[in-house]
Amino acid sequence: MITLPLWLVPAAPLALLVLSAVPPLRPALAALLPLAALPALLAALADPVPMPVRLDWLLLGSGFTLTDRARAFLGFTALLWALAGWQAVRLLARDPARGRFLACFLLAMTGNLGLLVAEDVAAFYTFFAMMSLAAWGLVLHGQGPAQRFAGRVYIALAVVGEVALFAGLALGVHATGATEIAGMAAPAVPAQATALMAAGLLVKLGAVPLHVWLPLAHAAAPAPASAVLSGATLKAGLFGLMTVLPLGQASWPEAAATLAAMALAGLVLAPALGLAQGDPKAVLAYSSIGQMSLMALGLAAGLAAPGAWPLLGAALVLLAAHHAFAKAALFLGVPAVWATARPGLRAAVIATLALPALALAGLPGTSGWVAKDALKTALGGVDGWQAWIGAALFVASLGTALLMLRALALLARAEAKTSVPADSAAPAAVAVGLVAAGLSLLPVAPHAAKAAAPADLLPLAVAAALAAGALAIARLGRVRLAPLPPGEFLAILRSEEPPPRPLALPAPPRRSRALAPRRGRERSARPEHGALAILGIAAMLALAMATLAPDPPPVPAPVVRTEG
Amino acid sequence: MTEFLPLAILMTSLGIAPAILAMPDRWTRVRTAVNLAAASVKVALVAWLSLSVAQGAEYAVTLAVAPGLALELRADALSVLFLALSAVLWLLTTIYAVGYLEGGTDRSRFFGFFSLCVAATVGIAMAGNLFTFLVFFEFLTLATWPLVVHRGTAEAHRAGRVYLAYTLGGGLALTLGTVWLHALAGDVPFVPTGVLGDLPQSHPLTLSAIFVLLIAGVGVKAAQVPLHGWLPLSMVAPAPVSALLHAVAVVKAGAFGIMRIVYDVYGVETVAALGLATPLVAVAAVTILWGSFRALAQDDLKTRLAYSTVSQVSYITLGVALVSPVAAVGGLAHLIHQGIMKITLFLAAGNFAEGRGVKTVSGMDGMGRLMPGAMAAFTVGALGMIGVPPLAGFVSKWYLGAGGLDAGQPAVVALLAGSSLLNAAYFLPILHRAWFRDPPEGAAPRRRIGWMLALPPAVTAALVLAAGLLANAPFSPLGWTRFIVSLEYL
Amino acid sequence: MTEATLLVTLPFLAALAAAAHPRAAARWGGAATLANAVLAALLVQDVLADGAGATGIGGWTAPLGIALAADGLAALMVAMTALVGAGVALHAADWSLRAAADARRTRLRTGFWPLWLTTMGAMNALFLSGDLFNLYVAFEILGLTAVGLTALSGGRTALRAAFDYLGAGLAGSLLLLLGVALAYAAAGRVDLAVAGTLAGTVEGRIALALVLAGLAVKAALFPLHFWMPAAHASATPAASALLSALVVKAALYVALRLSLEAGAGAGTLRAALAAAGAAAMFWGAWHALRAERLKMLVAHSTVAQVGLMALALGLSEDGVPWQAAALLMLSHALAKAAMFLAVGRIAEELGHDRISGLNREDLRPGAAEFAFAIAAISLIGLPPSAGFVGKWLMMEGLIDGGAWPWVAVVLAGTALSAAYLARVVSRCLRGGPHVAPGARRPPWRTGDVAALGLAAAALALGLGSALPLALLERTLT
Repeated sequence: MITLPLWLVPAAPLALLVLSAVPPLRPALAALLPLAALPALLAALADPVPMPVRLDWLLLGSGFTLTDRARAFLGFTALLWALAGWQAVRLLARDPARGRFLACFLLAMTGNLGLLVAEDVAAFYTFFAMMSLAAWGLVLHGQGPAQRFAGRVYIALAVVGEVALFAGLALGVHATGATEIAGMAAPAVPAQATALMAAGLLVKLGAVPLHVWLPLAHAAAPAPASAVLSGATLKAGLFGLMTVLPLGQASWPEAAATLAAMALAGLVLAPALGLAQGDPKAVLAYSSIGQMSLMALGLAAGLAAPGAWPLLGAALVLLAAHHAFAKAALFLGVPAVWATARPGLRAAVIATLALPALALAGLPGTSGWVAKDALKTALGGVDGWQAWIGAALFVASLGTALLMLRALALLARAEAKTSVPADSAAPAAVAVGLVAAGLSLLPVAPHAAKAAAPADLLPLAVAAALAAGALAIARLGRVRLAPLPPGEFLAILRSEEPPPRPLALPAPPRRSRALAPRRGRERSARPEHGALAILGIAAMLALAMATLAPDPPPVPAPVVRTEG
Repeated sequence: MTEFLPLAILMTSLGIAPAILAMPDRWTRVRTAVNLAAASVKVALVAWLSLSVAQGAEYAVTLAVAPGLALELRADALSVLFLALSAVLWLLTTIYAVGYLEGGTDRSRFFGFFSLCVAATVGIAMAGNLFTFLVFFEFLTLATWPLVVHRGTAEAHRAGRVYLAYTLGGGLALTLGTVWLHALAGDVPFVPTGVLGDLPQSHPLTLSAIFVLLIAGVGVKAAQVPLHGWLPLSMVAPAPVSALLHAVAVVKAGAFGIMRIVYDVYGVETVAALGLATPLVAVAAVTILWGSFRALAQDDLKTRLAYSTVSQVSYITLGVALVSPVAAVGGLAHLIHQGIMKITLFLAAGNFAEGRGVKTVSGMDGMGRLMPGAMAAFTVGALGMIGVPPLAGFVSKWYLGAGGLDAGQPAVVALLAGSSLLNAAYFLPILHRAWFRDPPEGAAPRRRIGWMLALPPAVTAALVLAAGLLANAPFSPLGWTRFIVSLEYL
Repeated sequence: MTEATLLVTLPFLAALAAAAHPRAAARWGGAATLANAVLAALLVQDVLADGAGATGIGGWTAPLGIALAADGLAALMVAMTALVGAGVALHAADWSLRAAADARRTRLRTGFWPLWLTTMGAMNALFLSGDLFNLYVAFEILGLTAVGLTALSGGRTALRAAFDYLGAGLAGSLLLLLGVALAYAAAGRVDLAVAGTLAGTVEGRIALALVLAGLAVKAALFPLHFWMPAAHASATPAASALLSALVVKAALYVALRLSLEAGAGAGTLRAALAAAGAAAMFWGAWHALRAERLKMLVAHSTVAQVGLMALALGLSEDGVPWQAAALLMLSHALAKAAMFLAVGRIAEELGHDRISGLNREDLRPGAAEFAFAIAAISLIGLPPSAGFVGKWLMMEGLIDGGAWPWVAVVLAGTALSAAYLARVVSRCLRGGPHVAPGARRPPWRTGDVAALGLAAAALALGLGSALPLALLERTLT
């Protein structure tokens, strides 16, 4: 087998993007879009693992390498981008702004795939920023007021996150002198640096309270974009955190407690807020917050108990892969639902989508159950956490189950959109297939399968009961739930744009006056004022310093002049 | 040969200026041919010079003016950095200006002073001592003035008056400082690590006063707050002038002057020992934040870019003032990086104004669909300014941040972070409007943008990308600045 | 040293010839100016090669005879006269030849040349003479021809200005004569070197003060400048250029000579000179800022510039090298002549010289405007002009001497001069709505070459300051 050069992983989508600057090539390139992730997939599955590449001329001297963890992430990320790309090409076939969307899509793909194989800090940051900023374009694509609002919130948090990451990386590199991204987990990295990096990455991860962009953006973006945002880019945040946090090295209880608090808040808040949403994609987004909080809990555990990290790490990778496939299948399924108008067909689609939904809820036998079980086992090894960890996991599963029910219920009621081509359902079907196939396809560490206990079904059962009860109350009491406005507490900031004034007068001119004197209109301009002011300041300063100067009488004058 | 090359580089712009000034306006072809030929020859000569200087060759021309006073042109590594910037961007801006002013009035006057302006820049770049620097610095003031007021409107004249008042005032401060230093220390050649010898021990306060005067003098051109008032006003000038003013000539000359004074007159160690480095850092920090802050509120596109320049040029000051070789690399590299990024932005903004009559941020709706090429270039420039990797601005910021830590001032990282946020806050809305909003109905009809207007921003945008992406390659701006810094920090 | 003798005699003879043959006046004038320039160049060369020299006319020697002394300073001034004269003569020849039908121009053609040649001779004599009495005589001739030049344009204002000038000139001459007489009474000698001994006695100091007052009137030094703006502004361009660039310098030259000789005793006088100079800088600048007419502005700028030169003389005890004053005089002569010629051309093309109207016309005398701008650079004292080098020497001396307030005065004066000259130059940068696209551009004329050449010379002189400074090193003190 030909060994694959690793730089091809980010270069392939980038090359596609560059070539699409030539208009005649565009239709052909659009068809090739799903294949842009192919090198990444091949790299992830290649055996032996591709060799590291060093490119000294690139950026500040960059390299690409593929660690085992990155391999797992690369595998599911590449698959997701390929599927989403496939659907995007179909879904947006007649969109006038398709070129713009595909450009952002390719750029975000480059960033996401690249950051997984980046070896050095500069390359990692570059790809990370590329992904974040390009995803802004995906969010904004629809151009409606919702998109604008979501875009504004998203970009504000993303930029703040980028900047925090930049500062953290700069501090880290200065402290360690290492330029490898792996070196950022070294003990020599100061705590502030780690905190800054983590803050930047937690924004991407969607940890409460940095999650506010997430439901807005996922709801606003086109479905394939939501799929990759939720399935792949959130995982990039997780990947970054797993790389830069000093996991498995020393116990860091304060950080662990903070992170755990954020995670628990997410586990509770996500279902509470998500259930009140009226948009199925928003509900799915809140479920993502819940799931990512679960992963954050795993990270917190890793910080608290370094000994448990090897197990935890493997479990987190499993969980990430599972969530990626399941959530992507659901998001990709949304257009599939839209495309079906006939009730029978729609029921079939919903039933199909129930598989990933149930997997997310942790139905025994599914990938979700395997992953959650692995996490549960690993968390059990953390001293002092056993008391409440079971309850937390129960709440998480219950919340997810409720959210899934709500999402499916909303989807079932969703109006059909005739503009959605029927073949956009195909990628969703493939994704569901991947969920069904479980995690066996991917190079992730296998988890010893265990017999399912009846207790594992409890959250699902409780959720079903609660849902039935709620439904009954709603029917009998004629209670209707008004959906929350999207954006939670940021919704108060949201303002509709004022209609343009019919005869807009230009704003009064604002002039810069640093030292230029304000002058009345009738007086003629005297430019020397400015000069005199400058001169005066300089002269006063100089004179003050000259008179203050107790310079000793100049030693034999160092003047070199020769004139008389 | 050692005398020929610097003189030839100077004369390629100084020599043709009188001829162009004397030409009738209607000789468009002859004028364009002369301009472009001279600019191309200059690029070639500068390339030759860079290669020779990299191999250790030395070039110097001296003309004694009075006893103890001499005009000296010398090419060292720092000169070459600035020379290369001005030569390449002059060529591009000339092409752009020819296209931009097609059919306008007073073109001979414009291009004549344009050449003089570049001649002054070249002189500043190659000045071998403080006196020569002063001479060309004042020359630059005068050569740029007619360009600023080129449109001849009342507003342009007002801007021109303010510009002149500020820069001549700064020139006086610089003159005073130079004379004072000359009286104290004799001839002041530019030598890496400074020329003052034992003077800092014997005359610390006098030297501090002189430093303040010199920096105030060049700081006017470098638009350091509170001496920046002229810059936003001078945006009434035609787009190529704004581009040249911001990217190469005036503002950069000021920044370059700060470099020369700190590195080659005082020596950075001396500046630190005199306790002047920290105030300079403070000035730079205030300028960076204030410029960005003011940019937020501007609706006029070019004014917003102007305030952005105020902010960005201070990165150079910051890099110079932080006593750290790493920061110095960042600051020096930013001289080039800011130049190519800002010129991209201004040339693109000029294209918006020409092609669609759009001059305000609020009018940018749908510009990405109306003028995709120019808008793509603008996007690259704007993202570079924010410091998004892998563009040029990121490299500067990275080195500045690392340099701040190296100099023991972690607050610099916070400063850079804050500035990046502000940069994003005033650039990203423009990008949003341009790419993600529909063009207004009844938009002004499209006017044709010829290749002369379309090509230069595309080329500079490509340079921005290349300077960041290939930062570690030999002969990149970063590589060259590392070479310079290895000389300045022995 | 035959050049010195020829320099003094030739112009007077040529003036006689020009007066006798009015039709050939321009030819005589041109030839004599050219010959004068050649002689001046030879003199400079001689002085550079051999150092200073003295020669007596008619074999008489000091203290009674007419002694001609050619040292570096004198040679420089003679060269300055020759150079400026050549430029002005070129302009005048061009101007008077073109519209022969015009009565005014006919008068200029016939009247200008003898007057100019006499002025030139008087100036040469003044620069080369070695004693006070000869100076006085040269001054008298100069004063009369200058009045003639003022009145040449023949307008009513010009005549009134000329009359004022005559009165002021006579008053100055009287003061001068009184001073010379007192000096003779006090020291028994009238050569310039006597100044050093004069400072020692009360009578001597009074004599010096009187001489200085007389010179102040002739040099139009504030507050005795009242006659000057009107006189300079109402004359024809060529005459204005000569008056402002050269005639005023004669008095300053004598003051410089006296200052060189007077030594330490004249502290009070120096202080007065410096104070008057500083006041003149601000007074002139203030009026130039408020001037409505271009010629007025330029004339008031002369007041300010004379103030600067007087300041340089007055501060020579504070460390200002006297070469600075000489260099400033030289630079001002070239630049001011160029400026008046340019202004004349502009006013001729536009038909008026209102500053506010400069940018309202469809006419664009570009060459003249450019000359004005370059001359302005020298007058402001921006690099690389000779004015800049002069100011540099001055400031360096002041800083060495620790005279900070005076440094501030010099800088403020520079800023002010930039301000008032920018008023004009900014209006020359026309464009936009004021100007129709088909703005007419007058064709080139030979006179433009004179203005541009003089202005460029003032600029280039800064780069070549080594030459005048080398010449000045050969000055007898």
